[in-house]
Amino acid sequence: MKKFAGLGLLIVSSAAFSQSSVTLYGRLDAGVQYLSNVAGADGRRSALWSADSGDDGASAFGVYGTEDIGGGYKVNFKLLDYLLVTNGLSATPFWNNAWVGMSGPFGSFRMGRDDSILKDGNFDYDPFSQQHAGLASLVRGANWPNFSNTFSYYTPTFGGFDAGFQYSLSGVPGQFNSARADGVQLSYRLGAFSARTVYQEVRDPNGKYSDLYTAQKQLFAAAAFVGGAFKVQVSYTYMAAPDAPLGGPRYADFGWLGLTHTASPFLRVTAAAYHIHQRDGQGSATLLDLGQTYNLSKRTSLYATVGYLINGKNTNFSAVEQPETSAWNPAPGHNQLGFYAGVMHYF
Amino acid sequence: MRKTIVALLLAASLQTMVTAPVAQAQSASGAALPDDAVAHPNRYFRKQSPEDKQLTRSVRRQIAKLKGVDVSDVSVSSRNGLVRLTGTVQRADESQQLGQAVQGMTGVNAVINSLTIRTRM
Repeated sequence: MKKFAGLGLLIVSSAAFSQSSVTLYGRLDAGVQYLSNVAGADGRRSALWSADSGDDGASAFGVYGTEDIGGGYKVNFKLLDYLLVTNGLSATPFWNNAWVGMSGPFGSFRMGRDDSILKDGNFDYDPFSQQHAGLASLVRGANWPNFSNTFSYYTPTFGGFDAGFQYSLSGVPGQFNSARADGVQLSYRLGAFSARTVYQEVRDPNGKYSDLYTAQKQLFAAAAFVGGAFKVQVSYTYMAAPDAPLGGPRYADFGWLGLTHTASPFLRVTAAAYHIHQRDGQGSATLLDLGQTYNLSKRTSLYATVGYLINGKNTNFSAVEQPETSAWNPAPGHNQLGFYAGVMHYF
Repeated sequence: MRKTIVALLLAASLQTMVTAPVAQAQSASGAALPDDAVAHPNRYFRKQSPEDKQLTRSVRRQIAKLKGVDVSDVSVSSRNGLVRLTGTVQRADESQQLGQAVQGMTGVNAVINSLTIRTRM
């Protein structure tokens, strides 16, 4: 009898020792989108209605795993693919996150393809939680890239402070700086107040900062107050691409201010203003965003957002984040109204 | 035995249907929540005494120290030992972990967990 009790204990302790799990998870976001004032090839302006996936947040499917190896140490991995529910295709050829790493008393470390440190860092400070019309619209996605060949380390918290470091190796022989990226982050939290700063460098294949929106240096600083029913978020980013050609945007100041009101357990309303100033007369633009999410359950919500993008004389930003060459951009100096509504389901 | 389990399951599922789909109250003692706290939470939790404010601050400080939970977008309010959590967390298990942790804190009688999920992807 005693033997059995001992055996039972052994089994219990080994179960507690090796708690491992693999979780399938993701989210699906589908809706309808409207954009006004889209520039046509023949100089005509037209409206665009489209079915959309990922306006509220990229639809994605992933696997997250963790293995407890004892002593407070864990081995973790993540695979995540962005997909389009509109046509069932992968947004880019497979796994936008693919990393393996360890966490423990030292913090956490991971290696592989990862979110940029800036993308993970600005999420908590974006009033629209990285929606399609929001923090990336005025910088053409410069603040949410993913990087390959990346090593990331996050410290534990010391007296409210924590730090993060990221480094992406080029993998090109003899060209250490080719397409190299690196970043550092410092965060502070005291009760409902938090602040963060991130410095990130992204180089082009020649090791230069040659494009304000694809290969540049960015210094991001943000603060947030998460009160009972109200949340306030503010940020400023300095962007620099000193090697970019003269006559185009090379330096910019970018920032936002947002207010979120939890009107009821079901309803959240958010208003925000985003503004960019491209230095040396390269033009300024402003995005005014108003949105709401209505929770049907803990995992499913309905959303609707209106974004009005006011372009300066020389800019042609779209209300929803688009590259410079996109067919959805308005003509330079013209404004654009964007609207989308849909459903977001987490699983 | 099986009947008891079925009855328990039925009772549990009925309860989740009756309570609001988002706000899930966790009360260790099983005490009923004030009607106002459920029907008009913003109004109810706006009226905080100095003691309530102290509990709110204490809960905020303690959840910030929890391991494995991102509380960047979690807001706390409280009244008469009833604590309300609103905002978003990254994963469903974080919401559960937070609710349970707050339930166990000194001075907390019950928790209204209105957290929803918003994952950074």
